[in-house]
Amino acid sequence: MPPLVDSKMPHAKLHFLYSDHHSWLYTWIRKRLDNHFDAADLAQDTFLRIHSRHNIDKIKEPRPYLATVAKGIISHFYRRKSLEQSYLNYLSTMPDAAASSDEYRLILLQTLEQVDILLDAMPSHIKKVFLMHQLEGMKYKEIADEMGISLISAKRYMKQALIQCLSIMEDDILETT
Amino acid sequence: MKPPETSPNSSLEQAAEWIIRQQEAPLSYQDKIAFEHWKNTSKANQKAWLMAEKLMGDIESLPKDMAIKVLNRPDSSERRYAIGKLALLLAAGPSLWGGYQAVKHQQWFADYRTAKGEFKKVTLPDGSTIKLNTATAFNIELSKKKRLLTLKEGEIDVQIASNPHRYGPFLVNTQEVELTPIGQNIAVRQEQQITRVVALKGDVYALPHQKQANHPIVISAGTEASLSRFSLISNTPIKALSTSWLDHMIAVNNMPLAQFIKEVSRYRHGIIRVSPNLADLAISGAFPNSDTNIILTMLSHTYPIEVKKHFAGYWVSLEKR
Repeated sequence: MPPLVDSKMPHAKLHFLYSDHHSWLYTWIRKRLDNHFDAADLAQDTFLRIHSRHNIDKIKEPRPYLATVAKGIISHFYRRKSLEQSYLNYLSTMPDAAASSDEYRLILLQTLEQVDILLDAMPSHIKKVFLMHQLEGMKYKEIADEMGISLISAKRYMKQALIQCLSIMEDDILETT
Repeated sequence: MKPPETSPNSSLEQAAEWIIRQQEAPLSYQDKIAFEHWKNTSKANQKAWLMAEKLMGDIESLPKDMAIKVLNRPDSSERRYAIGKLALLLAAGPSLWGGYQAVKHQQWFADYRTAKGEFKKVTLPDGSTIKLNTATAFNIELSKKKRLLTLKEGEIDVQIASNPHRYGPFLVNTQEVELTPIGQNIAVRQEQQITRVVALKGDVYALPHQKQANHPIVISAGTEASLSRFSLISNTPIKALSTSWLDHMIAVNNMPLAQFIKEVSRYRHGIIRVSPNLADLAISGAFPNSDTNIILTMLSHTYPIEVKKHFAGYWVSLEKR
């Protein structure tokens, strides 16, 4: 079984990475989070993320690398919390929405998160064009007028936004496969 | 239609252009042919279009009004605030959390707190020890006149050091009542509009903040009581649940699942939803409160409950199996 030999090595490396640096990473995250409950989860997430990247062999400086990955995970954690809060706030103001099933609300939340990740890295003017056009259904002419930009710019921003969404989706696919 | 390019991003770029064209107006017959041709020109184009369809599908499926409000939140500033606040705490060091001494008035006061899921034991300068359960905060003022502990939220266990000369009597203040323990050990929990008191060692005198009469309510040793800001609500022998947190457990006997999950949620971030047809299921046993994931696993092994986790456990739903 040749694949077993190949997959065994990274596994052992992950194990060493984990046992050598887990408590350091936990403390590092803990200092930035003031909650050891979440910190333990996020430390775990960091190792999972590294595991899924399949590039443990290439890590030369484990701690700076772990810290970089963990920073992304902490930022993601905050983004998710704020999304969740915003969603719950919305639900609390909408009696109809609250009456729908838990399952449906969860699906909505997951979809929101997907889209939110895509929008997160966009410059605000581009995000604005994207939301106005895709969600509010505004025409490019209306967007251009409201934002005081040219029609060409409005379309160009939209295209930039779409390209960015698609390339993030592509990265995600590459990372998980 | 441009001929396919070789740069890696060209497929994504073209997919973006096709989305824009399709959204602007229905494609003409010739455009449709060009579009089909483009899709089938390369694997990269095919993949790019699959992602484009997924993206548009995701956006389609969202109720527009809600999505705008949620997605357009002032996200970055909140996060910057949160991160900035953490950076400040980090810079200030642990002393900010541990309390401080104010020598000026020969008085000592401090704030103590625990986060969700945290447990802490602190010793005060008078020798009293306080255990803090999850998500708890209290202030303390020590002076010759009195030792006043104000519980703001959460649950504490107080072992009172007898120290009659240097310090005055020990009082515990909550949102509803002022408590004077006669003995050495008392546990107090602040709930919404209710204070729960466990007289572990010695009687406790309780004075609700809006009580008319001046004589206090006596909570006898070995009993626990619930009080509103007006009166005593109940007084019963001590239940296992009221003290099991001191052993890091949640001990219950025939507690409805919905209520049990409320207890568990005190120790866990995120949301646990109980399906209505499970709400009354009677739960018994002792569960470790230091790891709520273990509790969820135990539930799924012992009861006809299916635990569905989403968002890395941030959102959990319990459904009938």
